[in-house]
Amino acid sequence: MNLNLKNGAGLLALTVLLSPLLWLRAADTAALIKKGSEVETHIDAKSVRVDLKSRTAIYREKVKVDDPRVSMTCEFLTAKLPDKGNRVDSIIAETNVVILIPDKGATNYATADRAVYTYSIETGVTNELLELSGSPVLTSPQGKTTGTKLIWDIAKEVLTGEDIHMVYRNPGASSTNSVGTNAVSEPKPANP
Amino acid sequence: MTGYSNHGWGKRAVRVKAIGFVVLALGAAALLPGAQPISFKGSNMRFPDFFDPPNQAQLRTLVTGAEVVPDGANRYRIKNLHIETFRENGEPEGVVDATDCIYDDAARTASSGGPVKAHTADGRFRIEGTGFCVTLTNKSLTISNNVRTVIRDLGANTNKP
Repeated sequence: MNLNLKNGAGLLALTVLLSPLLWLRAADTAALIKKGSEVETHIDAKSVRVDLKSRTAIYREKVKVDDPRVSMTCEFLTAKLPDKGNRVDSIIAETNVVILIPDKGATNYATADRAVYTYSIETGVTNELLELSGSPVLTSPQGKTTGTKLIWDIAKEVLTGEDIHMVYRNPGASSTNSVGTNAVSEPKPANP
Repeated sequence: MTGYSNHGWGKRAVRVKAIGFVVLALGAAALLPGAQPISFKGSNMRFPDFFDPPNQAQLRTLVTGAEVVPDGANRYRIKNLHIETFRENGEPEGVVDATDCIYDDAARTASSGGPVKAHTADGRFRIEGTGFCVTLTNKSLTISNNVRTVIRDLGANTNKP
């Protein structure tokens, strides 16, 4: 594994914590969403303002998002609408953001004050990021990760963040680790 | 009946306001003693709006109603409202449908406390709810209650095998 971290122990802990989440998540997503297939995202809310010129929808109050890849609730959500066959390329969720990520038989969830999802394709490469800020907490059956900011590169399956702190569960033992780095990466193995 | 209007938006192309307008009740009754105020009731009324020059021949928005009743100056109660918006290149952009609304032709707004459905022309974004206001000048739709949206997109990640 090509690890790129100053604190080896912290990375090990982060790897243990996040690997199931990232890999199972990727596997689930791949199973649910085949390349080129269409996905329906449902967004419910009390109110909305849609601007066709800027192709923006701003939802307010009791916002609920359901998607095969993720479920989310928040109080305010701004979505950039797809244009000409593309997909939603920007979602900003604010206030009491709760994100549920289904994994095989388990649920991983994240909470934050603000979540920003961006999607773009540049020179044939997909960029898909989920950035959590405002007391973000990422919880999985394997443990809990907190920090001032958590950035999940969905396309590359890499998590980075700032001031990351982890508490991970290990059957028969318990342990905590703090990672004082701004670049924690968890590369995908060549042959998972 | 065919009407013309210029909203003072510069040299906008003349707007044909009421193509196919059918008058069902008017004038004659007003000539009788004790008659009620003149009322109009039309069907298949159309309120087209065009882009500014040089695209003055290109439709920007088209408001139609199956049944239209005047409701004050420049205001109409419209049943089966249907709004289409277009891009400057002529491509359809979005559609709004409602069973009933008040349409203000001066402010270019349509509003109602009732249900509304809307979608982009490509069908990838569909939305519905209760209580709405459409502002045609900036092509915006506000829905105040019970908002439900379905967005269809492609799930492909192009940099994955």
